[in-house]
Amino acid sequence: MYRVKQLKAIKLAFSLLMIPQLALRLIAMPIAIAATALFFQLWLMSLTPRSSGERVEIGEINFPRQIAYGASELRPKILSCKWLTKGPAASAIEFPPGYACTVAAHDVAFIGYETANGSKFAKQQQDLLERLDGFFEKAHFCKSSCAEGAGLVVSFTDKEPELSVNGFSNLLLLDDAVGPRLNNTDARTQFIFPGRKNLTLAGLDAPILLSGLQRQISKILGAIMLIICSVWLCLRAHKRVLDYFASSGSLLPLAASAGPRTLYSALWIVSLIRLLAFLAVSVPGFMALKASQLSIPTTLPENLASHEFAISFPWIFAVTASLVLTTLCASVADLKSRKLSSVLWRVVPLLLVGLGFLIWSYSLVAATPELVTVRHILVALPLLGLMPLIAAAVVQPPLSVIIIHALLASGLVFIVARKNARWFASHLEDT
Amino acid sequence: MNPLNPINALVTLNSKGLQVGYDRQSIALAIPELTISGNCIALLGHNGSGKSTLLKTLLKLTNARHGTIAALQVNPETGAEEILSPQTDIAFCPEAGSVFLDVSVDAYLAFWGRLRLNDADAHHSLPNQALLSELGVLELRRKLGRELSKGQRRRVHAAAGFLIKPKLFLFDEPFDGLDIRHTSALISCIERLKPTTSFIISSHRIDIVERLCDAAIVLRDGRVITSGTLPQVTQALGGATLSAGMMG
Repeated sequence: MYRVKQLKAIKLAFSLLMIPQLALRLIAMPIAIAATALFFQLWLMSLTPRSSGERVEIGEINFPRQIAYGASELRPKILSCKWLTKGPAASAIEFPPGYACTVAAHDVAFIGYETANGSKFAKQQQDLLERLDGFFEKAHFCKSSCAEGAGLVVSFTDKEPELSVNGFSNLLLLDDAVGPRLNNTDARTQFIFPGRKNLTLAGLDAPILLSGLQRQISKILGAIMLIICSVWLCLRAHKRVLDYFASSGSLLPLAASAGPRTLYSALWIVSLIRLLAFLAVSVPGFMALKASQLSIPTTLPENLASHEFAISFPWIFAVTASLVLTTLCASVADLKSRKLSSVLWRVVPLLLVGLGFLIWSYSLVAATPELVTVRHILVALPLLGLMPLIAAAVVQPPLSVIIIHALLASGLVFIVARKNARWFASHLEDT
Repeated sequence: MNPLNPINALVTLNSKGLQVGYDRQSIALAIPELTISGNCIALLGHNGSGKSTLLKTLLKLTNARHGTIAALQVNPETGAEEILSPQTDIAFCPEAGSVFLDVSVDAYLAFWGRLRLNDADAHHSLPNQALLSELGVLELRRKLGRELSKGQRRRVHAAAGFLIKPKLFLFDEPFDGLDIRHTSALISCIERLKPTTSFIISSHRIDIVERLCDAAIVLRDGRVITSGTLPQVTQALGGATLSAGMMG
């Protein structure tokens, strides 16, 4: 019986969408929004990161140092620690030259600096060290042992040099240290690292590859745009479809002819198709843009084979389930529009989404082990974890967290949708 | 077969202990006991008397708080009385008429044909073209819903209802907003289809109802004052004519 009703709903939905003018009106709009969002992402990518501005120096608040050290002043001259070795060359043990050279959170470690590759980039090493002076406290030079616990690890062990940043506070320090500055002749200079850069955050499944902060920012802005468009479209999609039929006076004859529950299911199918049309254009486009920024091969088959895209299927499922849940909550507000509780149905989900994003952002900056656990729990929860989940396109949580989110959101969708059908029936009584 | 009416398409409205309310306090419709048969049953009453609520309850668009109401018809093949289903047997034309705003009349008629008959071209058949022409819908077929007047929307939706060949057609104020020509056309359509289709018409146009219907239910404040054949109702209302009775 239930299946027959669903089939009727699908038939009704497709009967509606087979009307060309109706399909155009209901589907073309979200596609246009998605295309516009993609255009803006391209535009953001083309922006120059810092077209003007000088470094903030002593006497003013310096946020990176304020966050890292609790004070804005330049740090004392960077302490250089060349690590010692003991034992035969093959199994030599490395150790710091003294107690003052113990590795700390805001130290820099140069690994493999004595290799041929390290010598090749000696000038860049020196330049970087000069830039970091005043921002980082100690510079360790070793074969490999000094990397553990350091804020920055510069490695020359591979063919291509690699710069690993641990935590947001070190990223902010680095960005400020290597940013544009005026030299003696008032010419603007900027340090450009010759190899790969990546950011490691506690609790993340994989490091975030940074190919310039500007690109990273454009990606984050792109993701935020995607979030805003999706949530807005979700919140409005169902209301739009409902209003469309109500304003033409078709709601009652359609409900009578198909049955209120079947009609309601059909309206949901139409709403979902609208959302899918948006996601179908924006998500692959966004992924392709992201892949091109990270120098990943951009053809779709190659992308699908990559690790990133292997986890993108549960991600898309979780995002869709979560957005549908948000939409359902908003639609309850529409259906209960004459009741005071409708305000709560509209406001509370949005507040939860916003609150989740704030807590998640804080947990990224202050990445203590407890906050990492909190972050994982947060991302696993529907509504609270919606924005972090969409941002998983950039900041990737463990796969299990995404799957838990998808399952919880799907379960809640099922429960709320069943209740919603009853509310829709009482909504018709008021029509 | 009802001895009062030689027409085959008779519908029986049967209600037992019906109570409908939009909130917990008030009751919009209460019909403890009602059985009435006819080929065309008129729903009469002043504004707010519960006519539209009765139609919506019959269509299961409004949930009854208590009791039931159903439209029944004898199946000519089995001879058994069956409850008519809003999804397969009943057509409904609401008070305001309805056509999707951005959709042409032609596409709208195709939609109803596809939905109820699995035939998007049903409105192109010759008899249906004649029906559309009679109702003045043929000349509107390229117009969009938003370009139609209230009367035109009503005619289009009535045409869509006729196309799907229902066993029972529910009309809510069908003549409101129609000009003389199209009122006459709609009356003649209803009269012509009466042998195969039953009608329940909620209307304030007593003159037309007297001409079309053979039974009536008179409602006031959600209660049935009287019901039965038109002469019975006229007599119960104490007027020389139905109109005079309703005035009283």
